[in-house]
Amino acid sequence: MALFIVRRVLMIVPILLGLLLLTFGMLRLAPGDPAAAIAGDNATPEQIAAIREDLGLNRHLIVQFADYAWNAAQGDFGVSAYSNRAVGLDIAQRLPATLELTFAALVIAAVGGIVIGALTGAWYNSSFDHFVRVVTVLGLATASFWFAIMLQLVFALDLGLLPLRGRLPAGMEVPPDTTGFLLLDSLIAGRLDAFGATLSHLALPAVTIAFGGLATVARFTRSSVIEAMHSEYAAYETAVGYPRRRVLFPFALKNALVTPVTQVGLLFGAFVSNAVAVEAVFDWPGLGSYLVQAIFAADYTAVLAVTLVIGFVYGVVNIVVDVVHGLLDPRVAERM
Amino acid sequence: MSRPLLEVRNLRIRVRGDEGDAHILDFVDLTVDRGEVVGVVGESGCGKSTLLKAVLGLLPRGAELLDGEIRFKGEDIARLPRAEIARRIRGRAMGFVPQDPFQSFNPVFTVGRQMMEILRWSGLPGEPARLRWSADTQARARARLIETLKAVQIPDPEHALDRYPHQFSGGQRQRILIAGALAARPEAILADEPTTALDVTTQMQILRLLRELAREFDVAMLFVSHDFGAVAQLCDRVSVMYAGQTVETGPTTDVIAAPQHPYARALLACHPDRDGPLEGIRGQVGSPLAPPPGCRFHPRCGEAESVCSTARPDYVHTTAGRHVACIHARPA
Repeated sequence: MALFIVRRVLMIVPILLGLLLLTFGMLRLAPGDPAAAIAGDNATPEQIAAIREDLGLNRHLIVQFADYAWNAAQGDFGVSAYSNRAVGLDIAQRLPATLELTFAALVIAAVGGIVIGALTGAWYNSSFDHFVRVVTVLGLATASFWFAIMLQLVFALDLGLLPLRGRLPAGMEVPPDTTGFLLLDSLIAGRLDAFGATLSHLALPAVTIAFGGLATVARFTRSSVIEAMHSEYAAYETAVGYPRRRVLFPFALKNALVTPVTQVGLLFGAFVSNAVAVEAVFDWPGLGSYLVQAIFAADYTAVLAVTLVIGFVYGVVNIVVDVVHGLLDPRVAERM
Repeated sequence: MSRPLLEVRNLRIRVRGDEGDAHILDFVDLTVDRGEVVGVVGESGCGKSTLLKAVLGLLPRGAELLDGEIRFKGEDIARLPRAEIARRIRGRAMGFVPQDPFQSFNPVFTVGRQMMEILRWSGLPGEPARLRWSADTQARARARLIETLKAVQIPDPEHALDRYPHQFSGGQRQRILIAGALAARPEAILADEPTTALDVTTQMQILRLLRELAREFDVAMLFVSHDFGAVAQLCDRVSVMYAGQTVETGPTTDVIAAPQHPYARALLACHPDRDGPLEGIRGQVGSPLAPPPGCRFHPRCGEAESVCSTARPDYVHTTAGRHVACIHARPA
């Protein structure tokens, strides 16, 4: 099992290399000569050549790639041609907000989906099951920006239970920035008030992002719980005297978790792209608005740096999913 | 004479379904005593597995007891609420050995965890069934499992408990399932075709093991099979079932030497180990939804007479310990 985990973790190396190659290639394939663009319309060929020399663009491609990878590893993704700021700094400032939001959504989708799926699977065709089925179809069919606005209308404006926008109430002192994740930072600083405020600010946007994914996870869990409860081993477990609740939990459920756990890994990608729209609605200071801005400004450096970072996190999430998969089913760990 | 440990008398069970009522068991008669192995043979669909399910209270919802009784130590368990059968009978008073050692294990738990769960709900002597055991009880339970794995000849039982089902061969898995059935030291073992999924050599070993264990643990063993050969090796007495009815019972050697019911004769003629030409039985077991009237075997029987299609023949006591439900059977 330890060997399996090490092997899975090492998978990050090829993933990272592939990502770097992809983003590097896209940077180089971008139309136009970056040196000419920087030099401006009235530059002489000598000036352009000087800039090219300056940027290291006439070195061998492999050297350039190694340079790019080395810098990226240190969080240096270059300077945005649009804002003239270091892209790495911009991302470092905004990424934690987006990750905190998507991870919160992932937890809601995974835990909520698995619990609801297990209950509807154990009591399938009950009225609760039918009710959930209707809701999950809605979850899959609802556009997230519309759902976000509905949640705001009901929970923030009508009922006044939850805040409308932002990460913290205006005027609250922000806990010292250690990780960029407000939940962690407020715990580290011992600021329970900030922790609670962050949670209540997270609730609506995270639920918005999670809704569709929760529906997917619930449906996958439901059908695999039904399958596991009708399996030969469940029949055997009943015949030798396991109480039904034990046949269900943990014995059937652990088998049934393999599919939905895989789903959770895949959902992360969808959640990040969902976050772009949802962040705009909730005025969330994450990567979403930054990315939109960068795309409109054709700011390749920024777009590709975000791609690289999100891709990396996506890889890590799915490696974690693989490890969980192996922990759930020993046969998986032996095969890989 | 004291009563046998397990007695099934005139058992009749009907299942109501969308397509009509199915009389899945219709006059089943059987007794098994301590230290005795009784076989139930018949083709697929004859109600052998249904009989085991009925004893363990595992019939599908909609199954209804029309008549007869299932007595365990004199108590009629056929009329007990399911929950009570689950608590008192399954795993505790009666161990169960399933048919398929490849599908019956939960693949994601160690065999020790799964055997422990059987013990947990059937209770160690002096231990109430509960979710959490003290470290002391846990150790005692583990010792019991190791001892039981030794009895079924699993090498290195200490480590075997911490391994997963897929790490064992089919024969070893079947031994572990047998150990699971014995873990709570039940008084009866119900085995549902436990050798069918195994190769011939392994079958022999498992049959021999079951034979030895029945004596060693002094249990009443009910062994269901479609294979007369396996029954011949293992069972003291045999009961032949056809379409939900018991058609012949008697000591195994006698029945095999001279089967008296036409179905028993036909079934034996199908067995490849027997001398002489191999024969099949024409036709197939009728649907339990619309069973033929009278003797259910009459449409396939070469010796049927007109009365066979109208009246179910009574059991005739032919020779010592033998009962045959056929109009041709002659009383001793």
